[in-house]
Amino acid sequence: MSQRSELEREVMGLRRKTSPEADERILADVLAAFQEAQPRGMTVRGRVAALAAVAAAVVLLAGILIGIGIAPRMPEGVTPPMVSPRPEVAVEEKPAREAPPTPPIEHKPAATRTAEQMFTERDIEGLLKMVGDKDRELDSKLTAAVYLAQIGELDTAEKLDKLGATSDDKQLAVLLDAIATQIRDRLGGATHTVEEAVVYAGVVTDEAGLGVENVIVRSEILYRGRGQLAKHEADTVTDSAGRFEMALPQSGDKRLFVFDHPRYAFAWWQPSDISREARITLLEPRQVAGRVIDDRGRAVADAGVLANIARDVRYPNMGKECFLRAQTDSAGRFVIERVFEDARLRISVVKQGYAAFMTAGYRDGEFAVGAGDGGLAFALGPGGYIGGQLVRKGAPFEKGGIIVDCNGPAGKAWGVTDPDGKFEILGLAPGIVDVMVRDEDFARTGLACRPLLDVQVYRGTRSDVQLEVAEAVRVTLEVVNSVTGEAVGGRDLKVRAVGAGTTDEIGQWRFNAAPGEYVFSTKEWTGAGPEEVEHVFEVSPGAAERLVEIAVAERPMIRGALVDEAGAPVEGSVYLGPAEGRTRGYGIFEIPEPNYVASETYVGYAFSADKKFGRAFLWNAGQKPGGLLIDVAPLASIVGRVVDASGTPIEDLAPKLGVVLPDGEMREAARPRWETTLQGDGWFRIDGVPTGVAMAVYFRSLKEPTVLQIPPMRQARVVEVGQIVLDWMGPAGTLAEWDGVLAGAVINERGQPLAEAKVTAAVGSRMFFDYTGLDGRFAVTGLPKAEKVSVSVRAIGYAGQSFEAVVDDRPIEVMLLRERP
Amino acid sequence: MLEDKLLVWKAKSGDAEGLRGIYEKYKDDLLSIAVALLHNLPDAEDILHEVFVGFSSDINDFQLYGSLRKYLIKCMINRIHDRWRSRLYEVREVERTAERPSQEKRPEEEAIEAETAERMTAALARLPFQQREVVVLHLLGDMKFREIATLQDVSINTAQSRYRYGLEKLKAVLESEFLE
Repeated sequence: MSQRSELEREVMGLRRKTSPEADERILADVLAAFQEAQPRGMTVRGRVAALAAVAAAVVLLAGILIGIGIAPRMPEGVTPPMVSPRPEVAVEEKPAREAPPTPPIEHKPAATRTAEQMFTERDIEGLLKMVGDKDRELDSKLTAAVYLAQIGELDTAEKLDKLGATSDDKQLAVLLDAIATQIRDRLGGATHTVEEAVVYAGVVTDEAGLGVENVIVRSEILYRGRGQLAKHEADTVTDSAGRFEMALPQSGDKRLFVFDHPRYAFAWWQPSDISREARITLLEPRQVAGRVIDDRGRAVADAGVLANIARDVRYPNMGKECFLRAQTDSAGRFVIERVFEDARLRISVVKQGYAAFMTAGYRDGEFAVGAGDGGLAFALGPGGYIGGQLVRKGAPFEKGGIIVDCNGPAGKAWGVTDPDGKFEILGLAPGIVDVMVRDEDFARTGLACRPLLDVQVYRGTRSDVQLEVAEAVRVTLEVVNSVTGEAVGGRDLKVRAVGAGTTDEIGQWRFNAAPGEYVFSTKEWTGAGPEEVEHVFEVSPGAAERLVEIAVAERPMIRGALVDEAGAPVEGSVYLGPAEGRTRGYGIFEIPEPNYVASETYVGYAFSADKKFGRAFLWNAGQKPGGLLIDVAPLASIVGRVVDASGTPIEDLAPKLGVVLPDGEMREAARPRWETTLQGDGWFRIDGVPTGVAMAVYFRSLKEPTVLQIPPMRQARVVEVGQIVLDWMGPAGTLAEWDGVLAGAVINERGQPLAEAKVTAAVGSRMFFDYTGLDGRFAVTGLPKAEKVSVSVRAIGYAGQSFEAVVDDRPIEVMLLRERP
Repeated sequence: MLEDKLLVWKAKSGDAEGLRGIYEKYKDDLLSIAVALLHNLPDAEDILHEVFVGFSSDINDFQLYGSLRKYLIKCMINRIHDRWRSRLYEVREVERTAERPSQEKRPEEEAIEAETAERMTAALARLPFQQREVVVLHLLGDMKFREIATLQDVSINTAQSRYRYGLEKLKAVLESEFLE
């Protein structure tokens, strides 16, 4: 036992006590529930006897619990339990909740004293006799038994066993068993050589509560909880009162009991570690029936139909392992008999040469089939299957009950090895799968199986595989940041045909593997965004452990600081692409790198918290690593006026502000943070413009020659851009005359109408658009009549189309083709 | 073990004192664990209440195999899980418990101890629930990692690493608190 740290001891000292009020409240309810649970009709005599026994036991118990011993002349190391000569002391300790007449206890000291004497004299035989004496008071027997526990020998334990087996009093038998166990424990574990049997018992009744006789109770051993692997163990039948009892050897595996009576539906019970007593109610039987056909509608004979019954409130102890089976006849028909009423089921159909079919079940959270469903029809597609064997060092590895999994585009299925280590996995579609053993029980043996990747499954034939078993190597994958070398915790990863997981706080994830090559994958930062990246690593034989360090690219952070012109830190926010970040003291900020296209330059903005200072800056991927020092300056304003060629001011036309990159390319501001106001008579004003880069004012699009460039500004000021003359690019006439309509329909390659397609008609710099309805129709209104317009049609998942059209009354039809990935 | 058998036997023979004995014997243990897990005294008392009422209604079907204490802890954990799942619990300010003054300790000792306990409970509450559960069950519930692993339905290694991380975090939390 390792030494506890101080911290651990401190946690251990975290003891609390219930308040007397809570005790009172809880005990009142506990005792009420207890009274409720008592079988009615207990005779008054029985009650009195019980109370008498109880009072004595309390005395005895108080002695044991409090641990006050008289301990005169005791054998070495043995402390006798104190049996208080004054029972009222113990009685005082319990609050007088119920007020039963306290039974007279005067007769007891004599009996207990005798037991005491026997104890001090180590008279084991005498004590045994006392325990076995039918005429003795229960409490004397108890006292004797407790003494026996302390001084009994091995043969005493055996005698106690015998006594317990022949006793009519079941409770006493339990107690004697406990005492025998205590003796054996005291004398050391070596005496536990005999395999102990476990007794399961219970009563089976019908819905009226009457015991059902002659119910076959079948116990099955479950392999790791997958039901088809239940191995029949033993049978018994219920007696006339519906009772049964089975003594079965201890088993590390779970047991399932099936209750089978031809007049009733099947019932199941899975005993827990705590309860080995069953109360089973048999319900009315129902059927589930249907037909299995192939993809051409022909009946499939001899297909296995498996019904998995959902855990039900009626059988809360039934595991997921309850199955009923059927097979299709020559007409493809199957009937699952004796399902209990309103059971929910998942049905799977398996037949060699076909892909398996399964209705919704546990994973889907809903069971598709109900008891009583009669006209089910399942169609099986053609498929293949895998057969194989486990081998170790070239020889067959003969071990049954190992689960072999199979996963891939061809489907998910599993099989189990027979005692020769052979297995078959049915129900796969043609295609590729990985075959592996992920059986946890198998993993505990210290062995592992190398997974087989990309096993081809053919239609209707068997693919043979051999799975190699080897000593497992404990593999620790350690994921580190490829730049900083720091451990990356919380990282989701996958090892193909092994499993998926998340790295822990120290960047590690562990698994057992057979030597071989494995594929590790995780999402990594590629600059253009996270992408699943694969790494191959080798687990070589020989070593018991292997540490694999895998360096992954994490999304880098851009670190920097905001300062004013004097170099003093400034608090504020920084925007770059979709990312933004705030400074966290001393003007220092950290923002994630944007998803970038290599070598492209990005425009960023920084603003002080009071929105009075700011700076625009350029960033590109080549610039890293290194910090960004951004010196903010007062924000600028841009003022100007826009007129047409005749000098008439153009109203309601807002200017836009773009950024001019060093190579002359112009970029729209992605998320402008400045304010544009129109002041009438063609005047506009843009406030809050960060300085530092060359900017451009434009009206239509950056490609059109209405751009006015402003060189990098260093100072806070109002930049007057003067009068901007715009050429009117649209057709002649005024807006009032624009009442033409461009109408038509958008269809896909199969001629079906395409909804939600956007149809845009451009007239010069003006855009008009409409979306198609469910019928694929659209109508773009407000267009100049008889003029040529540029039309573009776009829909998600389809290649867009652009063309020119004349606005007239003739409808147009546009066909979009599906986009090729 | 034998005492437990006796108590259960008594309760099963229709004697309320057996039940009372079980309650008296284990209530403080269970309450300590519940408070450490839930960080809240009224909820912990509710759970304690539920566990014992449930236990006493089913006493007739109950068979004791193994440790009664662990059985009761398991019952309690299951109930806490149920509640946790239905998100009845959030981390709340721990409510000060009205500790009964015990005879052996002087008031100032008592105050210091209560303060330490409060600090520790508050620190525990900042652990992820699963880590907290392992730490509490192992140290307060005296349970083996194997048992905790079964309870949490995870491997024994996971339970152990949860314990390790839990302790590390607990230490970090306590230290940072100290600095503040």
